[in-house]
Order: sequence, then structure tokens, then C-alpha cells
Amino acid sequence: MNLTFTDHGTVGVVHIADPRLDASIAIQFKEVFRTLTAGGADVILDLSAVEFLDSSGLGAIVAVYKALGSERHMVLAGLQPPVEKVMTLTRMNSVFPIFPTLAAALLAAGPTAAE
Amino acid sequence: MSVQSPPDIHHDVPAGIGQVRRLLDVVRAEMHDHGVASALSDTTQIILAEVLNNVVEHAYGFVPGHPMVLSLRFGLDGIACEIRDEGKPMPWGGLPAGIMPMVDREKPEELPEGGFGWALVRDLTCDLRYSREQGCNRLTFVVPRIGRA
Repeated sequence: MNLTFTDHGTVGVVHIADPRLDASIAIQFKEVFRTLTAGGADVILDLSAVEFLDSSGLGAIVAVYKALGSERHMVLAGLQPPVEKVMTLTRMNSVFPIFPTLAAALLAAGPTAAE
Repeated sequence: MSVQSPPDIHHDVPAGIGQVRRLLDVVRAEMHDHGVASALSDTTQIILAEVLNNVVEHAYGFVPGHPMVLSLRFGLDGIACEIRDEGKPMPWGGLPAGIMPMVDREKPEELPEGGFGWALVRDLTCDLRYSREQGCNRLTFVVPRIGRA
């Protein structure tokens, strides 16, 4: 699994380069995500490279969001159609703000982040 | 027993979490080669991921290497799927209710991290049937071409 973190000041971007966020990498995803986001800023989870999400992958996204605590926000960016479908069916699209692209999410996060 | 046409896609593979991931990749490519529309293919993959992971995790309790047999038949009304395994039967002998867990954005600490699998399967399939025959689990359903698919 390939997760990277980019610091944009007020917000950090976690990019997952794996095409499938599924049961086989869900636990690893949770562990690495927590390490990468230990800094304390809000998080944009960039899912633009993810072509497929199963319920274990979804559970992992929910788990890392809950682990951020109530003071930190998390938004999702770049959902491909199968990922968006799972988000919609499970109504998780009502929990996370969802942006079409990472650029749009950074713009929404403010001028410091978009630089 | 009714006579069935040979499946359009058929795999008999050893069960395992990594195997499910690889199998779905192969099945996706095969559906593409058969001209299956991407929305129907996406839906089919979502369902197959849930039922195959269920076989690995619950029927076989994560013990890898046991048989997992998948057959897909393309029809006018959708894709008829059959999944067979030789693991433990479903608890209570039937399919879980599969109620979609409640999601309340105002209570993030209570958000569900699981319980979506069978709800997704029930939402996205027609004619969902489970039977236990001679020590084997057999799950059949149709992924419809219209409606929520």
C-alpha cells in the first residue's frame, strides 16, 4: 500500500496511490494514516487514484476519521464512480464534505492551503 | 435440477483476502472484454467483494486455501452470479438481515465502521438466495441492468 502525506499548513493531504482500498489493506491503511496525520491539522483524503472501495475500506475511512477526534475535520476529494456509489448507498456522503478534485478541496481549505 | 448454460465467467480459486483482490481485478477485465457497461460492472464488483470477503472471513474463518467458486452468466435482465464454498454454513441457516447501519453526522463518535456488507448486497441484487447443499454454501443472485444498478 502506498500512502503519502503533503503538508499544506492549515491542512494536510493524504494521497492513496493504491487502486483498491479493500479488506486486504484496510488495517494497514488505518495504521499508516494515523502515523502520517499525527501532526494535528485538518485532513484532505485524496481518493483520486482509488478505483474501488469495499465495505472494509469504507470502515477504515470512518475509523481514521473518528480517530482524528472532534476538533479536526476531514474531507474527501476525487471520488471515482464506484467509490462514490458506495459512499452514497451507505449515506457516508452525508458525513464527509466531498470535493470533485484535490485542487477544489485545497481551494476550499483557504488561501494558505491552495498555494 | 434445472439445466444451465455454461457460465460466461468461471473461477475456482483458493480462498484468501489477497485472492479476492486479485480475482476482482481479473473479473473486472473479463466483464470489460464481454462489453459489460461500466456502471453494471462497478455494481457487480461491489457485491462480489462483499460476498467473497464474507466467504474468506466467516465461512473459512480466514484460513486460506479452501475452494471458492464463482460463476457469472450474462442475461437480458442482468448478470446472474453464483458463489460456492465448502466452509461453515451461515449462522441460523439463512442470510443476515442486512439493514444499512444508521449514519448520523452529528455524532461522529458513533459512526458505524462495519455492518455495510450485507446491506449493500441486499440493496444492489435481485433474487438473492442461499442454500446449503451437501456441505457446501451456495449463494445466487442477479445484478440487474436497470434500477439501482
